[in-house]
Amino acid sequence: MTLSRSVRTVALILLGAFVLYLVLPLMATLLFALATRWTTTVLPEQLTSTWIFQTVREPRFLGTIRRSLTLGVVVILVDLLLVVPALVVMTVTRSRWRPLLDAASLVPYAMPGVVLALALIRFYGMVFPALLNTPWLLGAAHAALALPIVYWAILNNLKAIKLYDLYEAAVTCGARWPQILRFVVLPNIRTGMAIAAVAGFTASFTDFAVANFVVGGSWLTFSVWQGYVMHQNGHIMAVTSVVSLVVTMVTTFLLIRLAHESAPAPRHARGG
Amino acid sequence: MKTAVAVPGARARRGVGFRADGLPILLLVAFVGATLVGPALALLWNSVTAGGHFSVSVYARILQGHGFRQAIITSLLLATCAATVGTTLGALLALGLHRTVGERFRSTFLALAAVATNYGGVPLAFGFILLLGSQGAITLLASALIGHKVSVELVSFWGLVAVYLYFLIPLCVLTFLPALVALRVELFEAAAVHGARSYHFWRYVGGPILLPPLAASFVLLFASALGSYSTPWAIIGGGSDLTLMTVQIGFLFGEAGYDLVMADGLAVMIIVLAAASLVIYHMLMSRTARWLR
Repeated sequence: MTLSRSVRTVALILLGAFVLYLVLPLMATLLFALATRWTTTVLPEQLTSTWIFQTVREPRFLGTIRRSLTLGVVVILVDLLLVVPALVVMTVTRSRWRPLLDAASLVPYAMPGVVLALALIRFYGMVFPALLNTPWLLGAAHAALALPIVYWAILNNLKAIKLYDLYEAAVTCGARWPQILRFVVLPNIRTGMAIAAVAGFTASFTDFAVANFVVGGSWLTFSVWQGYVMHQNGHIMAVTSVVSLVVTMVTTFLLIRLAHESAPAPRHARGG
Repeated sequence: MKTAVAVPGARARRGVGFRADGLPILLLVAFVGATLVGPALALLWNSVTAGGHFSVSVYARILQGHGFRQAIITSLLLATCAATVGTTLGALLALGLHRTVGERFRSTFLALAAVATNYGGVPLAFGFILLLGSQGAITLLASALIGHKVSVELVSFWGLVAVYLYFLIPLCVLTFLPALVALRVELFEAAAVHGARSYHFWRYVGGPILLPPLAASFVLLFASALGSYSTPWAIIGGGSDLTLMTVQIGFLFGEAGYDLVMADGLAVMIIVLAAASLVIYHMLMSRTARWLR
């Protein structure tokens, strides 16, 4: 059964129209970041790089970027330290725990950002109020948010390398656990860890809902600052949006590249 | 050190002197308990013990209160409409990608779709305001073409649907496209050999194969739309009657800072709906997996 020419033409028109729909808001944001003035005309009146320099000179710009980058790195370290040992042990000696861990890894999908923030504030408000409004609680929340991505990336990689067979071979050769982890497990799951790290970082860097409620202005992240800037200066907001877009593009292309290296890719990716 | 030498045919399930091997698993479970399950149970507990004793009065108040009821109805309708349009267009685009374009276009399109799926929230809302706001580029262009001022209501039900589709359609394409592998050429050929026409193929073969992954994509899009907060927050702002469950939760405990138990109740409702969507999604995807083996 071959497709008729008209069906093919309709499909191509649909695809082209959708590409336009995807690109237009990005182009508008980029143009607004470079526009001297763009309020009453279809296209910007003139272009300038003033807003870029003004944004970079904003005292909060570099500070919030630094915070979000630090937070993202800490979040992926926490997740990897929690997930890798647990999944290695589960794969090798405790496979009956698999259903519980699988279910636990999916819990974040049942709790959208604003719900997770409310739940954490209400819970820790009762049991440990000192934790409220601290970056520690935000770090824990982001680690929970990124957990499914990290979990499934590592698990898929462990399945692909047939860890149990490698473990048996290593044990037969007299290797101990530290040696097995260092020389057998970690070198073989580098791609899975890289996918987990990039995707987990993106989830943390782009989060607005959780950070806005858990720490808000007391430990301002880049995304939360964007939310404030949006109501103050549209051009600076546009420049920060371009920064977000660049981060999203770089991390997405890294993910695609890494996914090509290790098939199958993680099945669970969180949307915006 | 106890050495558990691997005996051929017998899987040595005991570690090599790693007696505390359950500890990493317990740590992970404890983390999930402390950051997700415990806090979720706290919401449930707060919502059913609001008056100092067990009752469902919070839920009754939510369902009776006009504003809350409206938020629930709007959220459900918005998620359903956005998921329906998103799944329909996403499936058509996936079919188009599967059968009509070259590998290069396909890879570029999928990369762009992956970026769009991750590019949500406040920056996305801002991009749409620049295009479709009262002074937006498309609004001004349409006004110039028509000759009188066009009014595009971005802060409206369908305005939100249009913005949601930006990340929902790519999400559908990315989840539905792998399922199209199940539509093997052999199936088309076998159907043709038996005299089936295009209608018969899609009615009795292609449709039943693609329905579970299509329904799974719908459920995923529904859950994603239902839980969205930052995009509608940025678009709706504070000056509209349009309200959603997530926006109401944010208002109740973030800005208004009162009646927190109502926010707890709304949050529990979202958890139940999202968890049900997740279970249905996995059931449908396991059916799909049979055709992909």
